[in-house]
Amino acid sequence: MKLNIYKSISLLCLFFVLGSCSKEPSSAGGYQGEEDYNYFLLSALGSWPNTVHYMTATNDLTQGQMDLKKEGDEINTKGTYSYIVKNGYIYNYKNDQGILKKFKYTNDRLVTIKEIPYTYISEISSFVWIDSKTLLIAGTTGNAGEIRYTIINAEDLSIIKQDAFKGLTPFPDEYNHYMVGAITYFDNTLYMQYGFRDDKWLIPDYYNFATIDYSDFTVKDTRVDNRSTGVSNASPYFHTTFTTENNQFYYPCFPRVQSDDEDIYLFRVNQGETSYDADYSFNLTKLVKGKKVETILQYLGNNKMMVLYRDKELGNSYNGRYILADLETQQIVREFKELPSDEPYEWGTFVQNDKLYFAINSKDNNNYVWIYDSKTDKVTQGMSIPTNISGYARFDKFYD
Amino acid sequence: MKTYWTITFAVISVLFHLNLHAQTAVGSIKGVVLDENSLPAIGATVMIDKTTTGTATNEQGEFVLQSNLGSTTITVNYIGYKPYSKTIAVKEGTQSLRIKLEQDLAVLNDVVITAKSKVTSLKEEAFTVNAIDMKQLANSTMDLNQILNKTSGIKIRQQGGVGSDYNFSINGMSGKAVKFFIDGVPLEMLGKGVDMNSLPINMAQRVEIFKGVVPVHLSTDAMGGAVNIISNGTSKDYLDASYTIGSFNTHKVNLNGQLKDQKTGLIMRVNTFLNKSDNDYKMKDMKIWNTNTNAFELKDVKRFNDEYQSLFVMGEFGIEDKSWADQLFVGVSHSLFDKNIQTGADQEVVYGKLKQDGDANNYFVKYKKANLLNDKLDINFYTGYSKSLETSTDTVLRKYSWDGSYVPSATSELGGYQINKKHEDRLYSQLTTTYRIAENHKFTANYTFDYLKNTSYNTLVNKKSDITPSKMTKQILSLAYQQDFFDKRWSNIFFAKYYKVDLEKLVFNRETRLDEKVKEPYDNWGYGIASTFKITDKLGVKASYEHSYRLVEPDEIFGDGVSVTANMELKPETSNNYNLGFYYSNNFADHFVRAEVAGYIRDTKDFIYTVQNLHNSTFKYENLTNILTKGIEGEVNYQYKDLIRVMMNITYNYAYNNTKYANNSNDVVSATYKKEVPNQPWLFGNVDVSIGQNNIIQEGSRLEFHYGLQMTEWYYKNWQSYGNKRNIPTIPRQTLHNVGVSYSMQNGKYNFALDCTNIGDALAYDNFKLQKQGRAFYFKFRYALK
Repeated sequence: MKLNIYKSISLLCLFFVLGSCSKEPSSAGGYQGEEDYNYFLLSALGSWPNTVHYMTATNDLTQGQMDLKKEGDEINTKGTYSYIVKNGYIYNYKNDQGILKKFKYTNDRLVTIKEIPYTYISEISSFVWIDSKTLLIAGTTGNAGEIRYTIINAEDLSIIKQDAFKGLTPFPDEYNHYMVGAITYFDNTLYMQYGFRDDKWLIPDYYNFATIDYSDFTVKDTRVDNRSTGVSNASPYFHTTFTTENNQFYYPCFPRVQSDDEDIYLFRVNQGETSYDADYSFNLTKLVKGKKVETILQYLGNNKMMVLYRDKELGNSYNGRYILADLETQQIVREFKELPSDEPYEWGTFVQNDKLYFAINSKDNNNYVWIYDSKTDKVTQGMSIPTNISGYARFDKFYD
Repeated sequence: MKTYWTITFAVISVLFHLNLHAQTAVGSIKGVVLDENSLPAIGATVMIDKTTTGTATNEQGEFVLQSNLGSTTITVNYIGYKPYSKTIAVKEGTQSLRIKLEQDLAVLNDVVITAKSKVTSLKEEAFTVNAIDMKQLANSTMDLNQILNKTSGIKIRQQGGVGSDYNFSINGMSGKAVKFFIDGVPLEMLGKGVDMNSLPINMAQRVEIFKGVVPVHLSTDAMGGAVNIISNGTSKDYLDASYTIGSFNTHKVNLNGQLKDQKTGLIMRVNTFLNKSDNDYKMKDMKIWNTNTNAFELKDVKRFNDEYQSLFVMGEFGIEDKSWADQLFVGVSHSLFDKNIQTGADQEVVYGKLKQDGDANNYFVKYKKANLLNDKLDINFYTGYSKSLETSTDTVLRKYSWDGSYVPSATSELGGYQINKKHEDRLYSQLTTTYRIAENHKFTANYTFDYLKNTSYNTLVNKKSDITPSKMTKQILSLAYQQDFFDKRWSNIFFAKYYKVDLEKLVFNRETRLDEKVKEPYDNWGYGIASTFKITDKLGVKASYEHSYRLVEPDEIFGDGVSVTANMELKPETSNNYNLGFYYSNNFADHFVRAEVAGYIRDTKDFIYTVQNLHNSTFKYENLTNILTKGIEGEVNYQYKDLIRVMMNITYNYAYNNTKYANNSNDVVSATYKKEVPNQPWLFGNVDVSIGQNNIIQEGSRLEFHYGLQMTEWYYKNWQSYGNKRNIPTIPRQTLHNVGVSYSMQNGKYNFALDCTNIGDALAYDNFKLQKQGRAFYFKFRYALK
């Protein structure tokens, strides 16, 4: 029996020894990657709360493979993935820490280039580039009692100017909070979609639209549009607005909680106009025969817009379908039947040089980038991308 | 399933029948042996004089002997107590005896080594249990969490210092899956100021930690295990008072006392404690903004918004040792706490004015009577009503930095801008009855009624009178049948638990724009088995299984109609828990050795989490994750006389994602299926050594030195299988050394202890980069009058 005791003690000692010998992973070595990249992908892995977002990047989407077993950097410990991307850099507001960050993805790693304390808005609800180095971000205060903006020098993150928008329509009875929607900039003028809500997130049967002088931020015009409720999801998580080559800015209305019952519309404002184009209205819900329109729209040029919707007839998941619609005729001009059905996450498509790039999270064990060339009207299969994941949180280009 | 039950009941019936026949006899002496506290004397020997006939008492202190008819003298021996003899006239049938032993102070010093304590007996029960004898630790300056964190299979991840939030994990399961009790009553009844962090160790006689499989007397939906703190149940006068002072302006005062009138049996008991700490320990390399360089730089700073204090007073008045009651107590307690909150789950999020406070009152009645109906029936009843209020204050529009400076912010610190009040009214009653249908066969039934009314609101927006509370009524009926064979070498416990829950809440209906009352009844069956077999007197094996639940709560299923949407499809979290363990204990002259090794599996399904509805910034609760946990743990205890005690344990815990399909599909296998779950310690262990000598300097004194080592192996923050290897953050290995010395005089009447924790001032964190305190010193004076 004594032998048993010695065996037990020896076994425990062995555990300790083994424990002390296990090697902590080294930060040296590994896949080195490239210094600069043109494209990136954010893949979400794992079920909540163990969901981790990984960033991978490449310079060529037409071939090869993104292999998460070899490459990629987790981004959750560094910031949110509410990314504003421009000129090779990523801008991100970590609002719980009160820090605005500028990242660069280099050598297969997300690196902080610059960070500053920033607390002026609760979160980025909307943004617009005034020029290639000047970024305007907008959001509400924590109680959504006012809408604020900050103009930032994207080079060094220095703050050029910040204030609350003054002269907006005051709260009508029953409503006590603002919501910010799409914002665009033409010729020293800001156009901003905004709305009201109450404590229970009930919203009125209209949204508001303001035209603002950029030089002194006076509101030149503010009016209501009762063609739809709600505002667009214009935060950097989503891509629901765009500007055409004719300088027409398109923005949708996503009714908040009542969205299952109410249609989603697309509206527009034209450069130089006092306010929105009251003659233009595009019912996206009707376009897809009442199916659920997702929060991503892409403009391909030549009045063609990509729309993603979920088709429940294909199941409760992996049912995302893509179409092209004409902004003027308001008809579907192409269905992307070549693409497998998608399980969309947030932002899995982008446009560059007349080509539409899709990161499709399909049921198959082979996920690929798919490239639609509007000049040839052909869809080709590109790079192999991670499979069996929750979804692609962001698929985008680093440079315009 | 029907076949399974048919076979199970058939086997039980046959075994029961066989045993009934075997025990029919004439001239039986049946009795119970109690110690001076009226607690069962376990393992006491009962002999018939001038014969070789004898037996040992069981875990209830009971024994049965057969004897010739006529005058017979029996003698009871129990180490640490004076021998007891009594002559009785044995007649046909069964005679009952109740024997109360007297302590023998002359031999008390040797008791620790030779007697099988309650703790050891518990460890040999069929359930997988850690039982900690708090008497040996009474002079320690540690809190309960720190002590339990040193036992096998337990990992407590604490966010900061005294009073900070913690996550208590038993064999890899944590959160709402683990429930806490004090003397079998949910700890929450005493208010938020009373938890494992604040309860003084001197209030506890021992602590029992049930792993995975929970006995029926702790009747609740504890899916992953339960911790039961057993308070001092002695029936004589005592006073135990202590004061601890330590680093970071830490002060802890504890006073427990009891007065008993031996003639009338009337008892008055008081338990009280006060904890206070600034928790202003040093944080290393924190990011501070430098306006001159326009950049962040790293500095060592002190925590500045982490003050904590809690107060607890409980008075009990009752009577003992009456024909109609072994114990009847009425009691009242009051607790309050006040704590500032320095940081959340991420230490780069700094709070400067965030705070919580609250108080709770509890009123209760306890009744206990054993050996009714001819020594066959025991009754234990508790009913209590508690009323508590917790206030969370988040009203400062500032963003703080680690140096204590701040800038104006668009939002309050947590973003909610509120003074949130949570009123809870709770009525908790439980009745436990044990019926011994025959020797070696008994039934235990437990019925628990738990009613909770919760009224939560933001005082800046609403009044309490405007709020309709949510209500939850849980009724749990638990039944257990225990059978013992081969002179109690083999014991089986079969149990089943029926859960019935009624939920009620007022939810805002967006269509009618009105608040509407919604109700949801719910019921489920849980069941399990626990078995132990003593292969020899020294060596035993035990195994247990439970199919258990963690029931849904009103907020989870109904939402609030505003920011949390309803999910009526929500299922309770479930788990199949398996344990298999071996134990061995032996004395070799003056050496005592005990070794345990156990393996476990937790197959948990449908963990409930909040998820964001992407399209409209609302949330809902979903059954999202399945986890399979496998682990092995081992512990060795060694003691030489009263001189040296050594404890070593190690736990290997491997948890992997068992959620097979991605995105609620039924055919897309998730990339993380069967992959190791991130951010979980997988290997941790402890070594405790104490060396002490009695009668140093003066008679009746004891000097003792302690050394403790806590090791947690490095682990991955994220999925280890994915991403560039050099990019995966890890929580590095942590090795903490603690030392201490204690000196007690006059047989433990006056006690002094000095402890130094984390003597190497190592950087320690339980959660990713959430620093815990470095080196700290504590001094404790304790006065114990017994």
